[in-house]
Amino acid sequence: MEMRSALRERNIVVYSILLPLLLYPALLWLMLSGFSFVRGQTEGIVSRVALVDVPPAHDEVRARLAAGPQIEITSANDDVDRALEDLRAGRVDAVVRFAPDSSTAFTNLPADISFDGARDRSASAKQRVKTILDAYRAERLDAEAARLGVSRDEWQQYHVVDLDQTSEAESGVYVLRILLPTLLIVMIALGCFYPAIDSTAGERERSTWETTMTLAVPRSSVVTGKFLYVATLGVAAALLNIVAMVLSLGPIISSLTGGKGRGATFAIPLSAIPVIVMGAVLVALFVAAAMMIFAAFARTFKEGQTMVSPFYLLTLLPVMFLQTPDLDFTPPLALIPVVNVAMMFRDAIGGQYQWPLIALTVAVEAVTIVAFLWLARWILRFEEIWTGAFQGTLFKFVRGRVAGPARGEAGNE
Amino acid sequence: MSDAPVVTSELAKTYYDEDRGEIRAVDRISFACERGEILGLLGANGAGKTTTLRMLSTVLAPTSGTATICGHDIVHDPAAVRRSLGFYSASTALYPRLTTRETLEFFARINQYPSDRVKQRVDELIARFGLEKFAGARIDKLSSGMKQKVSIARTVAHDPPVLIFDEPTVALDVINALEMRDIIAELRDAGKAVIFSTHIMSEAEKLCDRIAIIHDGRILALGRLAELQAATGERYLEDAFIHYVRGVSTDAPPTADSDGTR
Repeated sequence: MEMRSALRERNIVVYSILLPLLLYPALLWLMLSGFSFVRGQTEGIVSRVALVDVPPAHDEVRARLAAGPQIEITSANDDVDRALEDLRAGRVDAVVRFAPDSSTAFTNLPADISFDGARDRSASAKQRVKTILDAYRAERLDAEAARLGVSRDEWQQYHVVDLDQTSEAESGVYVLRILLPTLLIVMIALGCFYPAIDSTAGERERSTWETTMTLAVPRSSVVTGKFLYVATLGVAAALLNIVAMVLSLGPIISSLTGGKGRGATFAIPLSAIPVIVMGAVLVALFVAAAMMIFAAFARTFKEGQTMVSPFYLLTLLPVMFLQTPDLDFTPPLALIPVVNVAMMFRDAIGGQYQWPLIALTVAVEAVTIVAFLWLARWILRFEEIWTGAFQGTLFKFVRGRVAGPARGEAGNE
Repeated sequence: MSDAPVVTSELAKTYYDEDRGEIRAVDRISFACERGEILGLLGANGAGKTTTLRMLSTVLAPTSGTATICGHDIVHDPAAVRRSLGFYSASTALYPRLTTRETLEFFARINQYPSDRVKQRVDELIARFGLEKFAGARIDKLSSGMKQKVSIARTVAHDPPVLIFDEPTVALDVINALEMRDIIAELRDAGKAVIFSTHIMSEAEKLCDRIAIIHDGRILALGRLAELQAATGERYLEDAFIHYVRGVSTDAPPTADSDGTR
């Protein structure tokens, strides 16, 4: 009945159902569009490059740099000090200085690129120049090897070739590993947020709390029922979000890359789904219990939002960990609630299952949930909490119970 | 020991206030309420009426003393107590997002009315309280008069033997207050034990079979209207009430039936 009633509340429907389904795909599209736009703007900026001591034997370098995309050669002379001064003053973005003896060494073209790392435009100029110089050097080396009749391996005993072995499916998994765990945690917390406040402070504000307390069921059942209702909406929000993200990610990226991203597949391994669902349930139970504890001290919905918001922000902590793709899921991380589940999600999406750590995660979450639920039930036994007579926070309340005079608990429930 | 559906013995409630220390809201009161009887708790605001009724309905736990509802102890068996009574007060609002029918079904079911008869019971209540047109309407869309009717209907939805009404007419207009009194009288006639609190003298005079005058958390007198009149020599209940309350204020001993027994 509480669920039926809740689904008629606009805020709950919006935050627990519509946002998980629609908002994050839309936000993702906006974010990626923004990146594309900013990237386009950056690519359009012209790099002003000063050349110093260009060797006559390598005049082609000058031509190639001048013809390079968005590169403008501002000066070409032998005054390096003046060129560096221009760089420091921001009049040029990069200074390319060739070694004095490079004019005579056919295969060598020693050069240094001076740039200002504090300016994006300068760093971008350096990158553009370096790309052209590297390509020029590689071509010269290959030509010389051909002239001598040797292979590249014989000519260059030590060289490095980049070969990206990532499949399209793996590219998709990489994106999902970064995005999905973060969104899942955020969605669960968001899905629990309004129901947790609505079922505690909201009841008090609507004067229905006392009505609920006179129902012919044990108080502990009332608390448990509310807890399960809040957690259910949290899980629903998470699962709806997974479906929405998996369905929308491919088309969004494809549309923004002009079809180049079409090959990437954004699929979760089937074997990961039970682990993800279990993790979502654990986080939802954890977040629901904690949010209800904080919201229990609020007398109005607004107060409830104020009291629960810090905890909501705390649940975003895993984002920090997830932004480091190479961070391993280790036993110390498995001891941190919510973070452990986020890491477990990430591994599972990548098809990795570290069962001892998964077991540790489940144990840690279970212990924390039981402790929180016990605390919620203990708090709600006190008349002054559910009658709204107590004014203060959880910490003030607990301190008062531990150090203060004995006060009324409401019966043997 | 009395077999009355409602029996209280030395029931007391003390609050702790950080500034004022201990406050005795209810001070060892004892009374009983029989089947087919309306017992009125008559007292000024802050006299202890609501605290007493909240203890009986297990909303608050007593500091000391005992009370039973249909033989169930309010401290040791609170869920059974709540099953045996209907509690109505200004602070027990309805769930605004449910419809009238859903509300009545919910209260009947959760208070353990036989599930196979819930639908029939709800239909009866809707007919009895004239809620047919509003059965499918959400509570938050109803007028305050209609909400009042739904509130009473949900209080009696599980057909409890004991009913507690805490100042039920306080926010009602004359017509609705009259209707409320008629319903309460009807419940009494159906054999329910009804405890009714009010600070309106005329209401107590018209409705209550017995009246307990409560002041500063204590019952100063308890008896039929005629008994209170005879004991004080006053013609009107209001004067009798003042007689008892002033007697306490001037430390004069109460004059009649103050032990709280029938």
